[in-house]
Amino acid sequence: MTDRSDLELVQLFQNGDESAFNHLVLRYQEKVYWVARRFMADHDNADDVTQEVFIKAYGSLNEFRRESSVYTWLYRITVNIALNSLRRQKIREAFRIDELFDAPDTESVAPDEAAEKQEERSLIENAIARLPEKQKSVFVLRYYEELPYEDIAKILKTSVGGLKANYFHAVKKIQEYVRRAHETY
Amino acid sequence: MHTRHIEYLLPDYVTGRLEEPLRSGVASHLEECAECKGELETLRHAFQTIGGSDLKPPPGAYFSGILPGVRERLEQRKSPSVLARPLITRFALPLAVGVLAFVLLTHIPVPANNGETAQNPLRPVLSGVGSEELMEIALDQMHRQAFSISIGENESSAMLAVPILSGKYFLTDVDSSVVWEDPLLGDIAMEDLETLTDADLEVLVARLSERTSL
Repeated sequence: MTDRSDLELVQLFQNGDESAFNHLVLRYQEKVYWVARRFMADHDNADDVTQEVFIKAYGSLNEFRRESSVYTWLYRITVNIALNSLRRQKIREAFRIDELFDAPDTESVAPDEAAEKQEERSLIENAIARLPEKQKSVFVLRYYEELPYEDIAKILKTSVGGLKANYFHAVKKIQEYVRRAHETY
Repeated sequence: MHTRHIEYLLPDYVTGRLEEPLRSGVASHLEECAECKGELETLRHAFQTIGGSDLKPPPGAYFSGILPGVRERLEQRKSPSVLARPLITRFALPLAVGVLAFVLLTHIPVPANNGETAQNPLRPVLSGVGSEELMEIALDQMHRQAFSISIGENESSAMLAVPILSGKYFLTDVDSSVVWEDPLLGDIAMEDLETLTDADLEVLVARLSERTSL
């Protein structure tokens, strides 16, 4: 079944073949995970988002009407769930009743060059995390996923025109954030 | 082409993703526009920095565990829906909402009562969050409380209002004819949440404070 197209798999699923869904998961799990990871920054949250994306997809697949490709549809679900999850994190921070549940990141600090690289990576992740939702979404999908603007427009349900401006401003903001961080330290 | 339009094409130009004939157009423009040339260098430097930000890969066998994990959760969700449960169990939902409201309200910071206008830390967050998302968060929080009542996924989607904001509980997904309202906080309706103005938030925060002090 691995040689079936996405739409054929959807058709099979809609006709009652549960295994077709499994193939869609296997086909897209890495893409979904990495998009989620770019939004969520850490593995555990990205994992939650990834699982949630496929559960949501499973529940909606019978209503999939081929108005978009499966991959733009999955990307849209991923972006929506990731953004919702980030909003939930913000709320939790505001309520501050989760402190007992959220263990700190215990990733060990690597020495020298590796540490520098890790620091730079954290800076970029922080910069991306601080972008407004739209800019963050465009940046992740354009830069990391290398999607064409036309597909990003479908995923984010917006026009192509503004996406380029969003992408430009996202890059500028990331750079500005990193520059200021370097000046501070 | 106008400089502003060119600027927006520069990120793709720098990363080699700008196709012809736009690429040639930008290249010609850059030869005669110092402003855009400067911008190009800035962006080139930015992408060099960003480019080195590869993420740490997930644990070794992670990807082989996604499908089993998804399947397991799907199986768990196939448990009977709220409508199939005994009536007494269904009443657990509004009760749980009440408990949740209490828990959340007692954790909301009360603005300082010393005559100064205190900035409520919830303000910037609330203004960007829709009611359904808040509902999800509320449920999530409820699950984390030791005294929370077990609520299934179907019921989760049934609750469309968060007491702390709307004061109204809707059970629309369970039965669209059932609407239980408890206007603790007045007339700020859930559908207005995404368009709350600063003035609305002032009122809301004031009401939350009153509620918290009860």
